[in-house]
Amino acid sequence: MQRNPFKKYRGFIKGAFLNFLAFRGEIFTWVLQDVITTFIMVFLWFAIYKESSSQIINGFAYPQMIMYLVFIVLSSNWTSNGASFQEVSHDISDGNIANSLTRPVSYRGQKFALTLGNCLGNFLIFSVPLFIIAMLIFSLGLGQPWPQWYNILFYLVAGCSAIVITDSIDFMVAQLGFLTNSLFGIFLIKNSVFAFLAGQTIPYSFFPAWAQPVLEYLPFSGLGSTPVNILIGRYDLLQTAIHLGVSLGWAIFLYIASVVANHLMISHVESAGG
Amino acid sequence: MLYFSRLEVISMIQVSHLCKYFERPYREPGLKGALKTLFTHKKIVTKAVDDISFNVADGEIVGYIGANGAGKSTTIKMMTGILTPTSGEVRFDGLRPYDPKERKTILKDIGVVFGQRTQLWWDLPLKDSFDLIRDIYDVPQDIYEKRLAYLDSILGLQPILMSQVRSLSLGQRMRADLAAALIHNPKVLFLDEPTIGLDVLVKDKITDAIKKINKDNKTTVILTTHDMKDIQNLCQRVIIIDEGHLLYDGTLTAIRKRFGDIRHVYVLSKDELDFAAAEAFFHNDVTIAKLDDGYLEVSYDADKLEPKEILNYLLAHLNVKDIRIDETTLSSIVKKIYAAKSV
Repeated sequence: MQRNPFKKYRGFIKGAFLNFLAFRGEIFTWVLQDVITTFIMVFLWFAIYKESSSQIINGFAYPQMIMYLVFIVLSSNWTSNGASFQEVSHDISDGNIANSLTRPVSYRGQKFALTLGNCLGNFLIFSVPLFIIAMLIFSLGLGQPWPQWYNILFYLVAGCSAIVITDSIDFMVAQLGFLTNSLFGIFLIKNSVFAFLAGQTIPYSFFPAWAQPVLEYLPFSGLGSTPVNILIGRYDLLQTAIHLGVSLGWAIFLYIASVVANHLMISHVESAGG
Repeated sequence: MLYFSRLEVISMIQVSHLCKYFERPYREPGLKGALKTLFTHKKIVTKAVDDISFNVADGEIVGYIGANGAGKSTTIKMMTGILTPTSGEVRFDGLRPYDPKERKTILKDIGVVFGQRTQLWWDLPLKDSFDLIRDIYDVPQDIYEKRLAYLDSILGLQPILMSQVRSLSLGQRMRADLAAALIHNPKVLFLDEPTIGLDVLVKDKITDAIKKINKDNKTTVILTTHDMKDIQNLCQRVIIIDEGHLLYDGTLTAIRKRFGDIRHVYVLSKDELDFAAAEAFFHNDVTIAKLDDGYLEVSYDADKLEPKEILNYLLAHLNVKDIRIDETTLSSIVKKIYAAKSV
């Protein structure tokens, strides 16, 4: 008799969290890489603003631009480092899927729970301290105000929907492993394209006018632009509601799509072998 | 009717007319073949499992053996619900393991060890893996602790409990994997080549543990292996398949009987033996062959001849330097079955 249906998933979340802690040294070097990249971006934009005739470029003043860039790197750290891609592609290429399928837990659920564990580890160990350090620098060094409590709350909700969106897409992309061996290459291309379309390299206001409204209603906005614009207070309450609604809608839709893909994959495995 | 209902009660697993065919695209060799594949839809059908039926009773240990590619793993995968049969069916305690709804119930009652894979968390201490499996199978804490103590007593887990799984030796990891598959006390344990690559001592420990678990918990065990010693140590019953067909299903004693109780005498001598004369002397109840290592192998049926008669003859005709007697091993019988593709 199952006493608590979520307990079995808790096992996977906890396992991924503990696993994250086991790899913290390795992950620290990735974070360091992000910090270095961010520093380069800060100096690059410093030069651009210095040379520019106006204080504001495409609606962003220099301090806001720096905050946007720093927060978007920190956000992608805890929202886009899920487990699904690695797990599923590994299961497919090594035929390891048999072990996962003999557990009394849905396959998609297992992988999503692992992602939650990873993201939670990333959030608590790296993101929270780095956010605090960044905010201290922004408020003391650049004289920027701390985000409102409700902005932080909405940001966290947007971040969670970003986790669902990224993980669901990763889960589906990993299934291309049945068709191709160059999956890792595809994954890297996917990451770069998504980062660009999510506004991680430049904010949406730098895109052509026709592209901006389109991008805002695509799932990519939920991966970077939406959460960060909410956090740094660039959206009013109505805009926050609209953008958050778009992200949550995509999160629900893509999770359902990934569940369907999961069924198709399992029936493929069942009929054609692992 | 009565017979069938009785059978259902005592059979844990019923496999009837099970078939699994795989379709693979047909590909001709070379560049031309590769291009052709893009435009043709020719498919080759491989019959991995072809009309296999057997029952496994509650609490039985069954050895499921066959050469590589015989269809063992495919059958195990259908019994554990990973693969859906092309036709025929598997009933596990009355339920079909590959049915999405019935599967949920069944998965709580099975434990699986795939010898070349691990279900443990590679980078965590072993104890963490066990705790996580406890959560996944929702085992209450008090039962879990008792179970872990029991598994520790038969598999000796205590010294490795706090070690990272990646740092365990293959033997330690196998013991740990076996324990992991048993934490939720499954009704049926599937073991797919559990002793592969293990040394003799660890093998013994694993087979002893399996025996004890079977005895203490009435756990049904289905075991595939290439090591006939495992089969001899564990199973009363063996199922042999080849190229997807069932070749033999019965007891080890019966298979031995069918192949006769063949013994072998090996002698080393510089003298030449007249094979024809010797075979004629024993009315062709012996066969003699010269082995690559210089020994003569004299094989005889222990039901027809006494070893004394063979030895007397050999000692009288040869200046014997070395001598030894062996009985037919299960592996030599199985080798014959694989080669003849029939029993």
